[in-house]
Amino acid sequence: MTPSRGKIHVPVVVLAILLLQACTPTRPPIDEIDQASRALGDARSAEAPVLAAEEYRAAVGHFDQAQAAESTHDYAAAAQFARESMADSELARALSRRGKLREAVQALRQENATLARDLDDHPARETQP
Amino acid sequence: MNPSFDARVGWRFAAAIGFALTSGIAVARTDPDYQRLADQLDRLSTDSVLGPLAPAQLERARDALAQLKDAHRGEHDGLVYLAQRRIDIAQISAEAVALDAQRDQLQRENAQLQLVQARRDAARARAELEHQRMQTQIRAEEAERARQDADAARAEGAQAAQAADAARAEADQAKRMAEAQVKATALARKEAELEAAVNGGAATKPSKPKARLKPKTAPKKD
Repeated sequence: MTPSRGKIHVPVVVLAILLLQACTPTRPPIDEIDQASRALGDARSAEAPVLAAEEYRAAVGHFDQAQAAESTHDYAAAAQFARESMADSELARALSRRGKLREAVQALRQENATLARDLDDHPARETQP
Repeated sequence: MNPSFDARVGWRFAAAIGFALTSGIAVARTDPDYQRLADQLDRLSTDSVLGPLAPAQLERARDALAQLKDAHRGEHDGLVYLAQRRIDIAQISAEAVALDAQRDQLQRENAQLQLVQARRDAARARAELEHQRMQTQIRAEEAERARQDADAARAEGAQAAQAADAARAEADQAKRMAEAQVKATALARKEAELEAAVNGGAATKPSKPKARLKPKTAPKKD
């Protein structure tokens, strides 16, 4: 290796190492995993396992992947999976809420229709003596 | 080759690599995923009904899309996933808000209908009560009339019995008078026969009785 080549390669390698170190998280994404865990609990409380089963399963799966990545010190992946899990949970909770509201609206529509029909069929009148 | 030249080339090459790595390669401008998500978010934002209903979720979706726009190659798929989720969350949340308002409106209508129904039922109950009260009054009046008729009939029957008793008494009196008359007549005839026998004479006609009793009639009672 000639001195001139060394002068080219050494800065490149040094820079690449520095950049890799700068881009890689150096500590566990505790906040992201904690938020994902809370979001998962909120989704569970909102009956998402029943009302938004697919999204809830995705949330659980991504949360498990986040924990697995954290345990192998792959903190970047752990943070990304945690964010995905949190988004899944929030979507599952929103779907659950929308499902419940749809049911309530449907039930009220039917009840109001029944009441209106009853009032039409039996309007207020004085009974004849 | 000039060593100082080599060093300059090396540092320029490293700077180019560093710039490419730190700034990322601009994939967003030509990224179909980005364009698709941006269109989807734009449709939701400009929706006249749903657009204004979930501003916070829309803002988070915009942030996610902005991160995708600036994504490095290795982050692309993950950020597409997150942006899609955030847009879905905004859409579903807006729909839920709309349904919530719809439910409130239906609840108000329900309360109004139940009020009308309750008023109707109360009016029907009052009418039924009035009907029953009138029926009771009619029955009471009919019973009173029947009682009065019975009293009148009873009084009339008693009066008739009294008249019959009086008629019976009058008939008895007349019968007794007739018997007395017959008895008086017989006694007068006997007296005449005896008087004729005493006077020795021939056959003489018996004298007429001195008095003739007239039958008395009993006074009528009203």
